Amino acid sequence: MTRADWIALAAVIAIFLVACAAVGSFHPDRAFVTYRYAENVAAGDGFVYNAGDAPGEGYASTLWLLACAALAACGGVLPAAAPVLSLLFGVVALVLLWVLLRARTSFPVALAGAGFAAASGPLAVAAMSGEGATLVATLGLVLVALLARPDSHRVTWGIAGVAGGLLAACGHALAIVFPVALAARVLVKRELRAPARAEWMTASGAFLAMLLALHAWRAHTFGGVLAASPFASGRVSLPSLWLAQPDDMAPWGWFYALWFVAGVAARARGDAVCWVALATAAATGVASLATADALPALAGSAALVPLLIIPALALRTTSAPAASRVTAALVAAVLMLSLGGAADAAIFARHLRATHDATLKPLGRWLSSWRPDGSLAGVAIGAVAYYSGWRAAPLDRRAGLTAAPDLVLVTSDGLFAADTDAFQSGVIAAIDGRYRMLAGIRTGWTRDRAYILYARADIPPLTDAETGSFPNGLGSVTRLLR
Amino acid sequence: MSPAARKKPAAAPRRAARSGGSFPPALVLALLTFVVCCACLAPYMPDDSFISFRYAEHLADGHGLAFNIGERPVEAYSNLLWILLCALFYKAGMSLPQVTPYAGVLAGMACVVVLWTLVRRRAPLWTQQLPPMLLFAGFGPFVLYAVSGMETALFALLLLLVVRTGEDVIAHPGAKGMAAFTVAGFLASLTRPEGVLVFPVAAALAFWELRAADRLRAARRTLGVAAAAFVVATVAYHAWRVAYFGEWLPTPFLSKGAEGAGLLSGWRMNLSSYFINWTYYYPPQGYAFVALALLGFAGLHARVVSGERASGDRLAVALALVLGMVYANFVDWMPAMRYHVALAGLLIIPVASLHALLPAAAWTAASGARAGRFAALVLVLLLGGALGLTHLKMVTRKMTESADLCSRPLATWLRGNFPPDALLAIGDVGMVPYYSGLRTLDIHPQSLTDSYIAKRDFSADYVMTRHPDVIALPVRGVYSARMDPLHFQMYKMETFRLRYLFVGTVRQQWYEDRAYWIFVRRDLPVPVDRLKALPAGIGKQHRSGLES
Repeated sequence: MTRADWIALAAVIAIFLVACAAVGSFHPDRAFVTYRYAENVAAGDGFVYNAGDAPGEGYASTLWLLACAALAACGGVLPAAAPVLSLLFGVVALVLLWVLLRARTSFPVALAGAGFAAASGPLAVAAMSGEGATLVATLGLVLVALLARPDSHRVTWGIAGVAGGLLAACGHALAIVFPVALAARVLVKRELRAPARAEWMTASGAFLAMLLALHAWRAHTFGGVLAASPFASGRVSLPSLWLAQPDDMAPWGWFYALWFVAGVAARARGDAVCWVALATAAATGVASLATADALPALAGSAALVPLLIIPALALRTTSAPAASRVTAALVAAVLMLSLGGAADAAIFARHLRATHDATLKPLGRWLSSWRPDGSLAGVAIGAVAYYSGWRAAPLDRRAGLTAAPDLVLVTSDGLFAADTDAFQSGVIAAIDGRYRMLAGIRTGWTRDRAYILYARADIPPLTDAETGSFPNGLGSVTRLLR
Repeated sequence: MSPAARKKPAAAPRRAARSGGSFPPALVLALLTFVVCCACLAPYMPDDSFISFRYAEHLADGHGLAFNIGERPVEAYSNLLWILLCALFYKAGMSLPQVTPYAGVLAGMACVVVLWTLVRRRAPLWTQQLPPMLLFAGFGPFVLYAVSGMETALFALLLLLVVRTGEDVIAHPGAKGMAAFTVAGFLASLTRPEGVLVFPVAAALAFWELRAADRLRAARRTLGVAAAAFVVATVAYHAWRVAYFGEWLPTPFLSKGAEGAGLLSGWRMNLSSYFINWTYYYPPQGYAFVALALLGFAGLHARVVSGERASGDRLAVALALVLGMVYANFVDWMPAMRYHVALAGLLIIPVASLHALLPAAAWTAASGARAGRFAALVLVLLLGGALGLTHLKMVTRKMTESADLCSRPLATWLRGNFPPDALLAIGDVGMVPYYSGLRTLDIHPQSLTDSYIAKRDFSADYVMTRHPDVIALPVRGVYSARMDPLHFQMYKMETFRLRYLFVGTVRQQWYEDRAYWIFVRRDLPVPVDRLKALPAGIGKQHRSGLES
């Protein structure tokens, strides 16, 4: 790397940090599920959501959970420390992207590509979310870098297989990424037969060993290889990619499709880096469809951004007159567009932050002070359960409410007239008489999104002090019943 | 047959092959894209559109340019030519909220056509023309304001015509071209107040270009006559305007800045809106406009360096820069930078020269691979446009929901319960006054239609002296009120409490429970059960003041 490279890389990282600052810290509800598991792992309670319960696989990414557990074991407060870790992985991903781009494109083109990734909304949102999308981006780029090396040594292939196994530990569906990426490499380089066969067999062996180890551990810990996550948020719905994400967030499917088309069009024949990056991105994208993405800018798929930029930047330009200045202007224009994306995603991150700060955290703290050893059931119990410290269980959509927790939390469109989905309406009907409505607190502006809390009938009514300390929630309008 | 005549038939097919001949693919595809995008974003009709409609209907009915019939005319509009067109539509028996989106789309299509005539001068092959044309046709903010019932597309069209005729005048200065140039410039000045700058800037640049090209001597007379004609017409228009309204400046100029502290605060507020946080929902669009400007500068630079004639490009960029600076002074509350939208076409003119970045062979679909890459480029542009459109669609959906559930039902309620000469005091003087038909006092602190408030700021005493029959206070909150401090002063006045009865709330937005709090004069003979029929507005939160 030349001095100019170092300066450019520093500039790219600075742009990334600016974009992250624009997005600001925010806490998606789902991240708190991982935090709670990680704290229990760090405390020696095992992979459990409630201390003393049987282990359950209620989280999405084992590897990210272990990283969070390591932070917690070192004394880190996860809502503050986990975003720092995801930010660091974002920086590592950008460094890897820069190295990959510089190895094959000109300085300005590499700067444009890395600058775009740095300023793009999805990567910045992912870095601030405290979730593991930037870890996936880093592992994906490691895989591309290792698999696309022209002078691959057998050890390099083995490490690539390990990277593929680590990706599989970031999410069950991500297990497809390594085989697809490896196939792309082998087919592009026409290495199906010996002598190259031994090398990719090494990689496959390492990957399979990792995969087997992971699933053997899962079977041992959770009592089954196919343990379904009770927190599973369902498959992604196609309208959420193209029309509107949940919570009225803008749809970013067009953004990823745009870069995918650009990547497919610009890839160079026989260019292993292009093809492996494209294949890795495609497989990661397909894997991301397995779960609904509740992050702004579909940032759960942020790993696609650097992966798709690599093939898209294979476009060649001419040495037209004034090309350098014109290219600089184009780079600046691309940077502007990507910053616009970050600014747009920041709006929705602000919405989530407001919900967390005004409703979820204060409500959790209030529950904790109201009944230190309470129990809770609901469909959205990440942050409230985390801050309250209550035993919590998700409402099982098949079995309904099976225990008798102190509180049932229902999500509603409407603070004063509960408007819930059919399943929760059924739950409300089923608990009628055994539970009474305690309070409503707004969680989002649009459609007056709110949590409606139902307390078990035998729990004494709130005292004046408890009523007085009940949080105001978003918009300072609560529906508090004594 | 003369040699020249023999040559002519041979030249025509060559031209046809280059631009597509009688079937110019770039133009057709751009028009198609534009119409599809318009269909996607419609309906979107912001409150301000209805101010123009009200003026146009009053004018067509013979009441002059008055916001309230029978009152002194106030120049609360900033789009005279559009109002005149609307008055013609209304006179022809058309409903303005229904016809103006179509008129805007037609003006937008005309923009696409004029832009194409400029683009093909810079990019001879249709494959080279298509990317900039698609960039324009799918540019969300432009599409949004084409369907909005506002004058934006018409103004954009006139700006493009000024550049088109200006480029012609610089290349071949003649009386006919100069007349077209002047007329386009003057019409621009009638369409928007800042349009008065367009012709002077364009004429000055034409003067400079002609002098640089050593053709000024031949053009001096026609240019002088054109400038004199513009000055005479402009002076005559403004003399009429001042005589008619009795004011030097329109009220929006007085209330929205352009003088003293307003100038600086306008810049500060606009920059924050353009780049950081445009209310709660609107995506910040400043980045897209800056990117477009950068592309425009890059295209201009590429053209200048390549030694090709760049007079039209310079003219377009100069106009965009001057108007862009002017617009930064006026606080823009509406989504997607509505003032700047008209500049998009200007910035795309030089973008057409960027095709030179790729080798000429890349633009001829001689091989399957090249055709595939070209198709991918087109797809990328379309997907980029779709990304912007879907963001804006979310905004228009919310605004349309607000109109359908709040403004129109409230207007219907007012129309059904109060006589037409009743005075409504409200801060949003578009849709509710238009559909209710009531006389209206604009109590927004930056009043558009009330010259007293526009000049002297809001005064509770002034509002009380006007004795409004109904007051709709814009409030954040249904149960707890967060008002503008000036409105709060009025709300706390003893006179107000004694004179007005709180009827209830009509929520207009989800965010912050923005709602109208409706107050009615206690001495009005409106039965309580009819007052109780006040619509709730958006959502289920509603507060009635009559339950006790």
